[in-house]
Amino acid sequence: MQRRAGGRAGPLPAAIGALCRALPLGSRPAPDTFRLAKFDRPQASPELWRLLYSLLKQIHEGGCTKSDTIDTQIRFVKSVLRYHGYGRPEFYQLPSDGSVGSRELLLAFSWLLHRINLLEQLLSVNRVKIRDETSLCTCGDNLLKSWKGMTELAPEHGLKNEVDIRYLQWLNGRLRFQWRSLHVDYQEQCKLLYKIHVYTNGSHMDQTVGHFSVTETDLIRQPDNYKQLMQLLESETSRLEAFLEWKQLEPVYWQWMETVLDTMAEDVFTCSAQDICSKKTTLANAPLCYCSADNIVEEIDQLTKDLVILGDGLCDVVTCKKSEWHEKIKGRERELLDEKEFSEAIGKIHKAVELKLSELKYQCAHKKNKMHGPCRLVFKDKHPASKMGFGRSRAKEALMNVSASELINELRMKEARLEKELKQLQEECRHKLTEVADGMDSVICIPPMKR
Amino acid sequence: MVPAGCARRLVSILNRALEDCAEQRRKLDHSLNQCQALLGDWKIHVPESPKLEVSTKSEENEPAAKELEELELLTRALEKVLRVRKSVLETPLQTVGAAEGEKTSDKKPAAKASITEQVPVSKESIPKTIKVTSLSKKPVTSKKASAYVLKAPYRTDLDVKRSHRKAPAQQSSRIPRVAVKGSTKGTSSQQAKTNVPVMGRKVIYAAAGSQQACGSPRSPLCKEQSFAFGDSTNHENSGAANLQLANPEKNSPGSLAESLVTQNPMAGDIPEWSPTPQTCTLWEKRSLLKLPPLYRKTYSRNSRLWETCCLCQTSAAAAATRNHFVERIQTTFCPSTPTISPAEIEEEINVLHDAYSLLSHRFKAENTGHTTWQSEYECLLTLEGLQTTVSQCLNKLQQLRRAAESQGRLQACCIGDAGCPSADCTPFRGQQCGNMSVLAVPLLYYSSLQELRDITALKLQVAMLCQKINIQKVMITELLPVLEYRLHHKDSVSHLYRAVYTLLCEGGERFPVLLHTRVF
Repeated sequence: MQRRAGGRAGPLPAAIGALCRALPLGSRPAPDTFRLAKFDRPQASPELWRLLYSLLKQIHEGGCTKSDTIDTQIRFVKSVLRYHGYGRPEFYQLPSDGSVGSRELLLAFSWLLHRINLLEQLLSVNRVKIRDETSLCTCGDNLLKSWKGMTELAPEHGLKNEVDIRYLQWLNGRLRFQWRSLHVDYQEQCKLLYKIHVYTNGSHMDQTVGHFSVTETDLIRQPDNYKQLMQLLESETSRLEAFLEWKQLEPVYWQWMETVLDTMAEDVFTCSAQDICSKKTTLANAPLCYCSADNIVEEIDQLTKDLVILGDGLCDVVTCKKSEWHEKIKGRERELLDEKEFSEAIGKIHKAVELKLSELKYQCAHKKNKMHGPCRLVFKDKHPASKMGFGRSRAKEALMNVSASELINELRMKEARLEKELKQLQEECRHKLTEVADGMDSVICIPPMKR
Repeated sequence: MVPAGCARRLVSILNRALEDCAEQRRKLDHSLNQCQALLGDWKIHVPESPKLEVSTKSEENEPAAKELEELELLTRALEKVLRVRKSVLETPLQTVGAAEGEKTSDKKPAAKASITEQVPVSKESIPKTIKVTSLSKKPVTSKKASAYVLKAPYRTDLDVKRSHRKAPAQQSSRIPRVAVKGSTKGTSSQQAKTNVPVMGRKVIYAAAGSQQACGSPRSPLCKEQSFAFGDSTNHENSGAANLQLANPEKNSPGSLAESLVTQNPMAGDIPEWSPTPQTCTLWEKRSLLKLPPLYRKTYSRNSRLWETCCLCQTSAAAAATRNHFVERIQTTFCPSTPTISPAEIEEEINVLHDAYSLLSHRFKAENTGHTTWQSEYECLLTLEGLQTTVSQCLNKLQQLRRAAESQGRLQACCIGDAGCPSADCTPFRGQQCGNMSVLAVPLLYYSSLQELRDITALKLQVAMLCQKINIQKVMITELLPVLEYRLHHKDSVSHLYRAVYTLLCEGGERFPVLLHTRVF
């Protein structure tokens, strides 16, 4: 097979080579592994398992924390594939010592390549950090979601049966203090970052940015410390080149994958009838331990509740307004100037509203990418002394660029919403506790003054 | 002991939150240090003359004893500083101590006072101080200094100076300080003029080490100027430098040692007699800075490649062959595979979350008053549209719920087979936000410090509020039942009640007042 491909001046080896070179440095398989896997050679299996594990671990930050045995690695990989909806039962039946199944792994790998844009994700995740980055949203914060679902899992060691309430108060107070110190530290960092940006403004060769980032400034100050960074940049550059090459040669690879499927079909044909019968029709052995379905159902219920409340509110207002409108119309029926004019005006309004609503529907149905994810922090003087416009504005990126004022507005709205929610919760508690207080005899509770 | 029941989950959440905060602070500290180093003094790599190289090489031969000595000096200095800080304003005898203390406590007027005191300069104490300090430094400098020892008229001062030597171990910060101290002695005899320029230069170099001044344009200037001028600027600068040292650090004795230590890399170069000064700051070099050419090349190549990759589309042929393969493989999938994968469910839920916030925002916006009948009608139609969208979202949610339930059922049957020990699995969720397959990273433009501050503060506030809400929910589920239970059992719950009230209703900030009304 290899020789034939070689005789054809090998677009296939080139494609596979480009694919391998586009993968991150630590997880690069040998191109020969692919060929071995096509023929289901067992020696390719461990390498493919390792490959899948290391790649998927980079994308999903969870995974095995304690042990790194083959068993847990394999379970992790299976669970991720299950999470993304891979449905080949043979894959999930592969033994957990990783000794066989290279062809199945090859199929799974190729399916992932397509399904989650594996290469693009890996390139994004492994981007070399030379720019001042921040995030447009707080979704990725450790402080929020990651521990929400985990509280059940972490058993508290050494926790006595009863906890003193004062201990809780103390922990709470410590947390508040930490938040305040964090705030101070962040403000300090802003100040320093701003200074560095302003001082180095105008010195960067990249016109869209104009100033150095912290890493770049440090690079100037201490070039010796950053040799590794340069190496990483070089390797990233070569990976990007390999990616572009891969994009050119993609069709060859997919065609070859079809031949893999053909080969597999042939092999199955030659299998005994027993094996065919033992093929289960359910996805047994497909663990989903890394992703809990209960939390999702809980979330769905919460969201349903919220939407129902919103819907009811809308319903009330709409009926109210409708009746108002009808009365208005009835009252003005005699005064209506011109029926034609009136219906024209109505028509215009309908059109305008339809436009608005279709835009809204689109936004509601699609992932909102604008105010999410990591972004690069750039200082742009409002009144530039020098002519430093957008230069060659890359159209696609220019759409995604965000100005600070937009983000501030968005964050303010979020903050207001969250504060309201918190106040509501506290109010409910107050209500409940007042009831409890009434139940306590001979004690009067005087709540603190409202600020 | 006011028991609160088994509030296990709450404790673990709080501890986890504290850990996360601490981790964030550590990261932040690291980056703060880096930024401060960048904004502070930079050591310039001057092309070294062979003489310097020789001197440094000979220095290396000197045993580590010198380093040990300096280390010892440093620790003694630290102790002294701590002692001094305690007795900061006590005795006027300890003018030295006072001067030091003033500097550490960052009292500008006091420092100024000490500076103005020193304007009547005393010179001959200075050579001694230099000699004293340079004794612990390279022989190159000590040779020069020893020449002055003979001229020193006041031997007694040497003892006093030796005790000062124990103070800041680093020469650069020591010399201006010692110079300052020297002048407080109030000796007034003039030094021989020949000594002056040399020493002045030395002192100024040393001072330059702790200044934020690029020395090269200044040193020739200073040489020509009279010592008095140089000295006063020196004092001012040293005072300012000391203030600057004290300023960015928190006002604690430890910080003084920190500043001393940070001065070290810079000061290391000072005693070498290179005519070019060794430090400067970002502020001065700001328009002269240039990235290394290798980096520039790599960077531009890199960014061009990123651009190309972003714009790179999958060719039609590739898409066709790929889809064909994927369809084929999907026919081999198990028929009982649910059509919506968990990843897709989560994605859809995120979309619906955003949709919900968008819809409620629009709802609020439309509720404002309307003047003309046109806008009223428009509002009505919009609200109706919103209503239909909400019901569509609800339908979708129902679908997703059914899918999630079927996934859960499937998982339940698999658990038996797979036997997954949940202890060592940490669940993951898919990428929450940002389209990870898009290669471009958007730019966030800000135009003033206030904007940056606002963004940071608001993001932190949002994160904190989310966390508070979560904690509040857990507290409600864990603490209220305890209270009710105890009340039910007629236990005295006043303390518990008060604590629970504070935690739940006031965020731990304010307390209610409980009055006993028993009549005695």
